[in-house]
Amino acid sequence: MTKKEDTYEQWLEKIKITEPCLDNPEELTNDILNRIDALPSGNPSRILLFVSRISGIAAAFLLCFLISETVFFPQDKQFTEQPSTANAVWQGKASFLPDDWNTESSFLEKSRYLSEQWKEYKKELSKRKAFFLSKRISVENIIH
Amino acid sequence: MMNEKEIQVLIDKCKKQDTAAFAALVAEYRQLVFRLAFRLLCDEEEARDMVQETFVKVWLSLDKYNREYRFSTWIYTIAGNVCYDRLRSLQHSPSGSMQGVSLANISLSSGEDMEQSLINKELKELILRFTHELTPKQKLVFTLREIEGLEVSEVEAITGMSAEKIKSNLYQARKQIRIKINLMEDNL
Repeated sequence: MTKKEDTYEQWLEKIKITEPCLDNPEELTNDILNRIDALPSGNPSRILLFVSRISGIAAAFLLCFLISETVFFPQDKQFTEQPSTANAVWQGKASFLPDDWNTESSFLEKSRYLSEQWKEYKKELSKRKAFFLSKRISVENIIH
Repeated sequence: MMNEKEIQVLIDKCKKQDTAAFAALVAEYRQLVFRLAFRLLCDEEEARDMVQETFVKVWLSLDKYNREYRFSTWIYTIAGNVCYDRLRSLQHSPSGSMQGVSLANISLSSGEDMEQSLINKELKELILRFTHELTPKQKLVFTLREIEGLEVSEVEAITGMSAEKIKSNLYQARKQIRIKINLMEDNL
């Protein structure tokens, strides 16, 4: 080994064996702990997490319910099942007379009957329109 | 010195925000971090700051600790990164030069403090004598591999460099140091 190599090895060995002295280590530890205490807490309490999850799920369900109510109009229970004739009227297919209709009846009678049916249909239609309109307004109020 | 099992128990407690357990971890590893920081930065106050920075980062990222590695390797990784960043910033700052170290700068107080300060100043001078011109990367690799005596695989894990890059940096560092030694020997 050359002299220069020897110097290198000696220098390295001296650095390896000389341990730097840490002055007042307990104070350093306290400083670290104080800094940690001063840090904002990264972990919110478990109860808070649980409550936020539950309210998130509830909000999602409520949103789905509102969407389904708005987009897919359900059959209104408020309106009871109509007889087949009335349904036909409602669907705009009231061009026929009931089965028990007397074929001997006059044209005037037929006309009176059908006009009664028509009035009933219009009344029913406006009632439904008013109901849907009020319902839509209340949904919009909730959303906004 | 604690064994790895005891360390793992402390880590589990620390994850549950147990600061007393963390204080025990700090007590166990502060000298290791201080030693590495001092050998890299050659300044006692800087090294103390680096120890603080390292342990704050350890506390904040305990959940990311991978148990496949030894805890000391993980601490070395964080400390190495913190010191490397500091070395780089010192290299770029005009007042960051670590040259011109002299024993005259020692502030002497008590007898014990004086002895400690002398040891640190001598070590600082000894390290800087041949390494002050190394790049931060070369200095980090040289310190970890040659002075701290870590395996190449560990240096790889700590620095994130490939084995080839480590060897290349180590070769350059040794070469630089030998040139300095040659110059010094020739001047004598």
